Amino acid sequence: MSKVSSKKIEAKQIDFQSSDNEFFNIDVQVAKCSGRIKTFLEDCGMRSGDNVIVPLPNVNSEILRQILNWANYHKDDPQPNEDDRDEEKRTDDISLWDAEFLKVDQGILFHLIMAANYRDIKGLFDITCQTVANMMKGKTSAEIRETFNIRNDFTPAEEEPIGRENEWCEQQ
Amino acid sequence: MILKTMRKKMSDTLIAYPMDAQETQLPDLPNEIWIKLFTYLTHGDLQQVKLVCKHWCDLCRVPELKRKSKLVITAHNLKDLSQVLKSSPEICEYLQYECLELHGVKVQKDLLTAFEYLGYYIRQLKLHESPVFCVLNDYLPELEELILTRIPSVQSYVNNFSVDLYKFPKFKSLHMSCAGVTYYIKIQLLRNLIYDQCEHLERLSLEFDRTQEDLILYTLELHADSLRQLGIGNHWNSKPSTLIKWQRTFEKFSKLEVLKITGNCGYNWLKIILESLGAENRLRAIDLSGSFELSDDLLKLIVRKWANSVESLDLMFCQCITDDGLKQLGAIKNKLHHLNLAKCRLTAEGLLQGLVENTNYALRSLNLSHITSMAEGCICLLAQRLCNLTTLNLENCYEAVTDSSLYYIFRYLKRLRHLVLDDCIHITDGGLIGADPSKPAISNLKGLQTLSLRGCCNLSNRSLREALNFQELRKLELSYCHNISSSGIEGLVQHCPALEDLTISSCFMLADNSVLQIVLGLPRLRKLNVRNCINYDAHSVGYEMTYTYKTLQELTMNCANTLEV
Repeated sequence: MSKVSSKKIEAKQIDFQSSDNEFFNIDVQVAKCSGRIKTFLEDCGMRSGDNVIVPLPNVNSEILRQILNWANYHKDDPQPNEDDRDEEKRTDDISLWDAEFLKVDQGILFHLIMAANYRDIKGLFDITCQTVANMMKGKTSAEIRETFNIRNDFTPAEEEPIGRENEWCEQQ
Repeated sequence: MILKTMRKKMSDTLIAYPMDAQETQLPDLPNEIWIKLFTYLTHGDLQQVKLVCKHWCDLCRVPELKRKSKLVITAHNLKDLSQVLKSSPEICEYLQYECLELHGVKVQKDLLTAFEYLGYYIRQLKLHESPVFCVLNDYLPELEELILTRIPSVQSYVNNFSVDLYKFPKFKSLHMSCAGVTYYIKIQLLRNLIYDQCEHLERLSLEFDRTQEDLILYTLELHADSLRQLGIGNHWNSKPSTLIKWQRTFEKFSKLEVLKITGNCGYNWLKIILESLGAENRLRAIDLSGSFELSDDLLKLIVRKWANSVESLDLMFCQCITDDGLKQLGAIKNKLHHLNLAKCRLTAEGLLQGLVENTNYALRSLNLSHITSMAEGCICLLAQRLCNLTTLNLENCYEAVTDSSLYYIFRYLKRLRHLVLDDCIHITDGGLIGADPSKPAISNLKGLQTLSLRGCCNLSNRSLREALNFQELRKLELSYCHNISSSGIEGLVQHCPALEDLTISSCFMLADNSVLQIVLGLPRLRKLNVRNCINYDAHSVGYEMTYTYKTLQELTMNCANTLEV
């Protein structure tokens, strides 16, 4: 029994297949930055020599390339600390490399967020969220709408009471 | 075979959302991701987010985001509130917050309306100048915490006093550690605690004098097995005869986590409290502000006894502590995240030999205000070694805080949220604006939320135009910065868009139009203090504010009164 489990994750490389059928051959170590893929590989058990292809039907090659680029750079990072406590969340915890990496158009940024969330890639999810939150900070509602190209679907009558909340509410 | 199961497993679980790269529209993020994004924002940001579209407005109603805000009812906004609640009940849902503060409100019909609609959700109630005890009983079934600050002692309210704590089954916290709470109310509430058999009292704070000592002791004894947080303000040296009672009472505590003893209560009393409190009370916060007689040996006792639990230590005004004694904090350097040494007679060198001997990752908050004999070099070393600091108070450390020591703060303390540099009179524009990468500007502290520069009288409009550039700054204090005028304000409103609270009192150069310039330029502003700087007709300002700028709640002007609009 123990023999089997020790052999489980011996394969060094696996292949990802993107939604547009491109193949990416990568280190298992890099692939495991995704909590979901890590569990999956461990659950299934892999032996050296297995030609493992993992299809990712909802990630296209462009996004996958970006994610793998990020994962490769961060593969030796220490595991993120789960001890969040009640500390306020920060939005300036982005390293220079990551800031440069995230200079992409909004569409890609949002796909990265979704993929990071879905694949459980904690580090990538945090910095992408911070980046989007930074696009809202200090702005008025009109500016935020413009930034994200959102249509205002309030009638003036609906908008008025929401604006009035400020008369009775403050930061805790 | 393995591959087959893999494929099956993957396709079973992974096709959760559609994605089309050709799409130019933003993909619809799942609700939980939007909510997660919004948790990075402040109350002020969220108010804007709500106004973006209906979908976002709904998302902002989840409890975890609502907890960022509280409801504040004043004598001035109460009437509008009750009208809105009655005329459009749908707003009621928006205003269901867990925390409510009342400022200067008396018992009146409008208040009952507000309680009727919103009382069910309230868990924490803070009363400031609001003696409304007689109406609390029937409206607040979920109340857990009652906080009293100032309560006027007018005779007619006294007769109306009645809070039946048994009506609040979840009640567990009572705070009245404020000189503004009258004797009568205090006694009544303590009696309630005794007779209503509130069984799960976890937090209690109060002040007392000699005449109330026995009642307090009795109350403490009654709740000793449930109390987790205790605050006592003691401004009297206890009689030697009661010391033994205090000792017996404190021996009974077993779950205490937070102990706050303020006021000069004398060496003997303090020693008995600290010695009789068992080590099974894993104290994480100890506040002994104002204990003039707290000595190095008592500090040693604290460090020894609670080395494994203490995270927060307030020693303001503990003037017997020496730099030598301070070195002992080295024993808790991996644990301590808050330290207050304001007004101690120290040079702070003891810190550099104990707590901050090397890089310290644990400390988040440090208050060294009024330590006037601290040296410039000390600040430079502290800044280099305290990389995780989020709060720093250096008020009146005027010898130590100079343009050159500031550069170290701006360069190394990039996680700062709150910075107080009041009365550091040597600071100049050049210090805040910076020069090259080794001398960064204050705007390098990107996450700054509060900044206080009161009395930094060398600062001019240049600082406001070129240095103060903060996306997240909510509170700014610039009073007694005499050189500020309209042209500086122009820069300020451009570079600090999130300001909610601005104080620029006694800035004599400000022109009459500055108030409007500020109010128009800063849409989130709630409090503005321009006392003692302009001659402006308060009535006309009041009129304009009332009808145009509802966000502004408080404007303090020339006259001593605060005008609420």
